[in-house]
Amino acid sequence: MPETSQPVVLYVEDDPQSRRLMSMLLTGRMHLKQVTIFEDSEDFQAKVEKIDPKPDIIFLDIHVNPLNGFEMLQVLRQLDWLKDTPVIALTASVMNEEIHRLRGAGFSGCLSKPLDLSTFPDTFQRIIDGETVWRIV
Amino acid sequence: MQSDSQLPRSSKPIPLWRQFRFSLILFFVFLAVVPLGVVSFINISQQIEQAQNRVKEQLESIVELKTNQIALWLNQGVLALDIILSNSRFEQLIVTSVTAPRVMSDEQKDTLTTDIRSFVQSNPYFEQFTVYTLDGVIVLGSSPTDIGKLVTLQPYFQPSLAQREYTQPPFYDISTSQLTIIVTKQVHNSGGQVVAILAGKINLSVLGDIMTERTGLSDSGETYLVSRQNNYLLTPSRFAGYALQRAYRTEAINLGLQGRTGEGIYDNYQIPPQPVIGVYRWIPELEAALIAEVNQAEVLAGSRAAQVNNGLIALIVALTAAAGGLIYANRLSSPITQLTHSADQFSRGNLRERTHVSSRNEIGQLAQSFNSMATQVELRILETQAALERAERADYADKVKSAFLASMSHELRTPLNAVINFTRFVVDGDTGPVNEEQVELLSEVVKSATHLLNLINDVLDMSKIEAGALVLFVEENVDLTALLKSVMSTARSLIGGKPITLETEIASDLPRIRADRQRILQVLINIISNACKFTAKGTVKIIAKTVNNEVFISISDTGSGIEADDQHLVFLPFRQTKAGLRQGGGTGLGMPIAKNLIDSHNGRLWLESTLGQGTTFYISLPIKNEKLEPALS
Repeated sequence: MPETSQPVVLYVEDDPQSRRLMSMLLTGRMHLKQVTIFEDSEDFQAKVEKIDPKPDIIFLDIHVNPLNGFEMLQVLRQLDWLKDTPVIALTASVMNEEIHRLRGAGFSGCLSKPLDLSTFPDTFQRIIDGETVWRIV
Repeated sequence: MQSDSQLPRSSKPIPLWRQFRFSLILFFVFLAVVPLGVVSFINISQQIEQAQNRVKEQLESIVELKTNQIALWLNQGVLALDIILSNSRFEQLIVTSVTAPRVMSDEQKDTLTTDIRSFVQSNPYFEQFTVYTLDGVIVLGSSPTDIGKLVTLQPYFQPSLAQREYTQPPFYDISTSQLTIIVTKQVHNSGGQVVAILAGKINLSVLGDIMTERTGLSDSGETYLVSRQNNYLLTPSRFAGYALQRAYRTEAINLGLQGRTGEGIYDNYQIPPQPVIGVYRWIPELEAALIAEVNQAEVLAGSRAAQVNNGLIALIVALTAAAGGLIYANRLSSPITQLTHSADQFSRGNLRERTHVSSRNEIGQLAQSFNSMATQVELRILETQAALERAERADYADKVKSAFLASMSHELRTPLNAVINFTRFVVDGDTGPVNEEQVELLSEVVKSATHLLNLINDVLDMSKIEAGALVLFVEENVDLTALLKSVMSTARSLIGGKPITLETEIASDLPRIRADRQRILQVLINIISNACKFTAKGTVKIIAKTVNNEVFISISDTGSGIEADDQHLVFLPFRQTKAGLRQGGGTGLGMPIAKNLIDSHNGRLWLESTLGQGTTFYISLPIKNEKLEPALS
């Protein structure tokens, strides 16, 4: 896969284990070079507007402080140049009510924790290709 | 619970005329006054009639009396002439003065004149005496100027020659301009021959005295005579301003002068006319009508007093009735008012309000009913409030439970994410080479951790279902074909290396339906997982098609099948079939949850199975699912 066509990934996650897991998955297994991970939403808030290059996919944890996933989505949706970028919720809260809220809030999709490692690369590509994925198992 | 705007309005004051007491008073007054009025009317009418009759009788007797007096009076005139002529010397002198006037001495003439004058003076009955010859020449008279005059044209002249005694009814004497009554008597000589007539002009004032004598007459009463001569009054009116020599016409005068006798109520001759009760009689001797009248107003004065009395009595009775009505109405309406007040209070939310009406009548009964109703309502409201509070507490408990479950799900899944996936990185060799035993053991870790995850999901779902808190996320146009594709890819990974053929028969015209996409997927995955799990070899087949108004999906396998006795256990929570127990790894919650989810979609989930041959699960979902309400679009 040539470097120039590799997707740019942005991820916000406050749980260090989840961060390490995604890092191993994206950079280790999928060999993606342009992966930015924010440890909290404050960091995200401070840097999101100056992100370069433009991300092709954004993963957001929901239970983050000080802004939660929904609030971060609001921030992203106000940025015109990111309006076509899929924003995927990555959450361990898979109760129905929570999923309702995610859909209502305007997320492009959702992947539940624990992640399914074997299907993740395929799902990832489908999202990049513009498919909406609500994978909750 | 009850907002202020819903507070019932209190009873408005009722306008007076609609009030119970008003109509009751009116009714009482009506009841009292109407019969009284009728009785009074009859009574007064009778009184008036009686009074009128009494007056008429009285007038009749007066008229009778006056008639007799007139007859007597007229008779007196004749008698007076008789007395005059009974003096033979005087008669002789008259005869002499007529037959041989020259024989009479001056002394005799003087004596005669003096005598005649003295007659007039001594007898108030007559105004004037004259003696005239059969030729009609006055030879003697109380008034010397009359002597020598002729009486031949006077109405009484001829009758006086023909009759011994004659009374000339009133006639109009042109020379005196008066109504005049003359009484005549023939004077005889010694041979019995008529030689002269003695005539007396009656003094009408005596007649007037008779008529104005008002004994027996009331204040306004009068009697008078009206002559046929020109309808002139023969006797003066008792009222001033009514001249004798004027024509008068009233009902009584007209009828009386026609010779009739009778009575009536009519207007008298006065100006303006007064209504009178009168009695009239024809007096032939005088050729006049005798009339007795009494003013009707005076007659009715007595009964008017009775009318006033009756009015006063009616007023007193009406006031008494009104007072009675008021008292009675108050007795009736005060408990009603009290009851209304209590009802108002009660409806304003004062549930302790009870009425204290102690009447023993129907209102008292009503009050008792009201009180027992109030007690019932109060009880019910208290019960309802208690139930609501319980429900609120239960609701709160449910919310707490839901929040706890959500939090637990999150807290369990986060570490499982690490456990499962870090292990898989190791198993997959991402961290360096691992031997077969390590792979096998670490795979068991992944499998157990995944089982734990499923267990958590199922327990959460089941507890939600049991709490009735499972909410579907309903979407329009859910694409079943896409879901089934996803199911097939899961099936393929579940089959792994087993010798199983995956067959599909999915109709191309499968409609999009209203459903919770995730939950339908969950059900399908659950069924296909079981199919793959319990099938060692053969076929797993998915059929999807439209039948009537339903989407029909069947998933069949050629697995171990379910014993007939066990089939009912499949959809019961926490129960597993013998095969399931043998196989292990299940929670026994998957199918009950699936059944519940399909039920929630107003669909049906059932199975057919033969032991040793395989199992088929059937799902039917309505295409038009109106009862299912979509969440946000």
